Amino acid sequence: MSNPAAADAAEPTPDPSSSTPSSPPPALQPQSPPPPADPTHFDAIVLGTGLTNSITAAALVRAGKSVLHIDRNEFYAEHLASFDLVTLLRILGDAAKDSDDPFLGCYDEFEVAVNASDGSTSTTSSEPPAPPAPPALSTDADNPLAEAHAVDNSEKSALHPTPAPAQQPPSTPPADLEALITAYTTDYPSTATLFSHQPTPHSRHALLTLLRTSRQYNLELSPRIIYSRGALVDLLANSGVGRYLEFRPLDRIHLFWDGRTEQVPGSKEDVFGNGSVSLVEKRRLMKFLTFAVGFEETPEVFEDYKGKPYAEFLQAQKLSPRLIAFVLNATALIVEQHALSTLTTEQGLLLTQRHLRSLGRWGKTAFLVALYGAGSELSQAFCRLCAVYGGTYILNFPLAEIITTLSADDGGDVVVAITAKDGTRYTADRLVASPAYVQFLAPELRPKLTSKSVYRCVAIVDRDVHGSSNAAAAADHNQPALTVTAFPPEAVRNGQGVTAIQQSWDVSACPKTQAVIHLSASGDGSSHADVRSALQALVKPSGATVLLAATYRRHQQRVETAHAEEDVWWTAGDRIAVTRDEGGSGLDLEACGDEARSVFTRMMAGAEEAEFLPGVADPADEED
Amino acid sequence: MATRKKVLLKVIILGDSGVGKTSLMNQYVNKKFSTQYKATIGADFLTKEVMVDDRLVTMQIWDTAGQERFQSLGVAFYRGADCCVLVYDVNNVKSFETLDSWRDEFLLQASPRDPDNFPFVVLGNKVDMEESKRQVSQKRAMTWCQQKGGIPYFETSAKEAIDVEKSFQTVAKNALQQESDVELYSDFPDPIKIDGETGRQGGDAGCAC
Repeated sequence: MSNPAAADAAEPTPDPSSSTPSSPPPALQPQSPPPPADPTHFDAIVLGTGLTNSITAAALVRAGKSVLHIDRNEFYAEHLASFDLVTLLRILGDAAKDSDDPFLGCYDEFEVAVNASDGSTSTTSSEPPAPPAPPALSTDADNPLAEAHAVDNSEKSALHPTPAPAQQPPSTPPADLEALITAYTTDYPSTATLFSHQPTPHSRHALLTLLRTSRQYNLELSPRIIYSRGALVDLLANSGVGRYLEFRPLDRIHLFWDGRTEQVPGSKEDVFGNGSVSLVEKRRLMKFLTFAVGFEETPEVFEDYKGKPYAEFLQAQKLSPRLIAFVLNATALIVEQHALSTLTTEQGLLLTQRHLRSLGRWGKTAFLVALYGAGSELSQAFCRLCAVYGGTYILNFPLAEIITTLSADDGGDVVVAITAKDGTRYTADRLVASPAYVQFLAPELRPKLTSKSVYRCVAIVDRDVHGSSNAAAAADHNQPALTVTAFPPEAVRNGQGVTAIQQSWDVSACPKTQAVIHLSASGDGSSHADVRSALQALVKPSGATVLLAATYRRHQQRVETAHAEEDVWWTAGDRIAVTRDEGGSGLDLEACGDEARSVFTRMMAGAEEAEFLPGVADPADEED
Repeated sequence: MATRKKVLLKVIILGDSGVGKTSLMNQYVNKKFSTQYKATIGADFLTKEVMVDDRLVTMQIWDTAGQERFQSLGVAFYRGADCCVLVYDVNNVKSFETLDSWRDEFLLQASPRDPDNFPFVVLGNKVDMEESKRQVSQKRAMTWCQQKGGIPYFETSAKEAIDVEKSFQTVAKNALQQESDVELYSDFPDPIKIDGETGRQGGDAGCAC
């Protein structure tokens, strides 16, 4: 993601002398700054381009504020970002070496396992591939990392499909990839049949084969799905941001129960057509769902359970454990023990209601899947809206510190200054930051951060894990389905559940016919073993081969706020807000919109009524 | 679902700040030109319906929205592009020299399926200025385009509407060719778009149950 113009372009420091707004820019200063009279001072500086902050930045700009939006990373969306395969592995690999970095430091315990068999299924015997001669590995020809990133080297057509001859000086570091493979490729003891034991020539070869098609993968750090009829979809529709995005309906939700996955009914017809649920159960479920969709109208039904766990209320409705798992794990999509036990009846009913109301709008489930990755694309789409209305964007910003001063002459106003390592300095009246920027604040202004471990696995498999193991069916050119599978805590050894999302070429996650499985587990006692065994359970029935599995641990940080229900932390007389920037730990992104709205409202307090992200005119009708 | 596919072509315009990207779009779509330079604010994308080989297509031309100024165009901007227009200012040699890196950046970020045959069009803009100010000769530009696999080249003036129409006609044509093999004739459903229409309907777009 190095920028083309970077080498020749002016430094990011705006040169005030060139900012004569109404005259053409000097011919040789193509990087002249934007026209606002004072290009180094803004109404607000937003640090971190996760979804909450991106929505906030766009809302502030739409309310007439000048905004500078910065990220230390060279990519958008922070922990919601989406990467090609090489970049994902490289970032997780770098994280292991750079634990002090406030972003990378959130990732550790990274391992990659590759399938070292020849890639064909075990039923067909074929020649094992000739392992590539070891020296070949150190040439550029065999190094997709070098291929993909050699664009800086303009003599060479880096993206040419034929491998370039190994003519580069050996000093260019393809060794990077070698090191990556050697350092992080290990086996999974519990799945020894699927994975190689040590990085063998076979496994290296298998990894290199995958890496050669790296750009066909869009792999999310934190995959999310979107309620079809939630506040976020409304926001996308009303703000005009939806025009930048493309979605597909989630095909199915599964519940892992009694050692196998079963489809969760998505409609009345599904409920009654479901052969594995008894008629009595079906009636109870329908009765409950009919109540839940408009639960506020009959408060007497849940009055006694207010403030009590949702699970207790569901038991009182005489739902069987399996149906309770349907509602809690596969509808509300909560699988973490602590979250389940603290979910109150009111909260749970709201989640069930939102789910039910989202059904039937698009496809057969309550959710949409965004092409290329929801968090990444939504964040960038809001950033684009912000830029269209004059917001200034700087990625890869070498932030050094944030200085907050109270200006004595101006009624105790606060001025926030950020400085870069090269001395560049910007000031603003207000600051919005994500947790990754907290350590740049003065100690007395820092909120306390708490951290929770999330165990993740991203696996590339050779076919739909819900498909038939029958070879003919597998060869059917339908793309793997887009699915979510919920593993309730009871189904997982350590008592914390696992969620799994399957993505496909339909959402540009991977090449045709392959599938990408994202698994996640969190909470006390959860571990890599949980996600691995869930992956194992998921792929087994279809006979799918796991081509690659990367596992890692994420330290999910959030600020400690005065009230548990508050997500945003405020200081310096409400001039500085620290957000979570990625919503909650659930699978949806609704919290980001809510959080952004609350930051916007509090920041704009005192100003005349400002609308949160008003609609935009159709660009075709716009007058110049 | 079984309707004939609507053809929507995504075209992105790249090049250094100040070469006239927004002006070219405006001239082509709105037949307007403003002599007042302002770094791009408020330009999003413009759409125009054009006939290409008896086929009505909608061209959606995306501006950089100024995000190129600090090298901060995100990868999302490049996704799904059907054609990439590279613009430089014939009176500014540096804007010509950066075409290489803009092209490389496009190929890297957009990662088209067939990078060798991906349609680019190069526009040398601002040919209305006096000849003495010109820093890049037509020959030099054409040689570069030849070296890059025969990229179509036009010399344009957004100000005086010189060859703007003609060049974008080529953009549309080549973009459609890029698209035709794969998407146009598949029964693959279009992805869902969430727009103002969605909000107003508030309703059941997909399901008849």
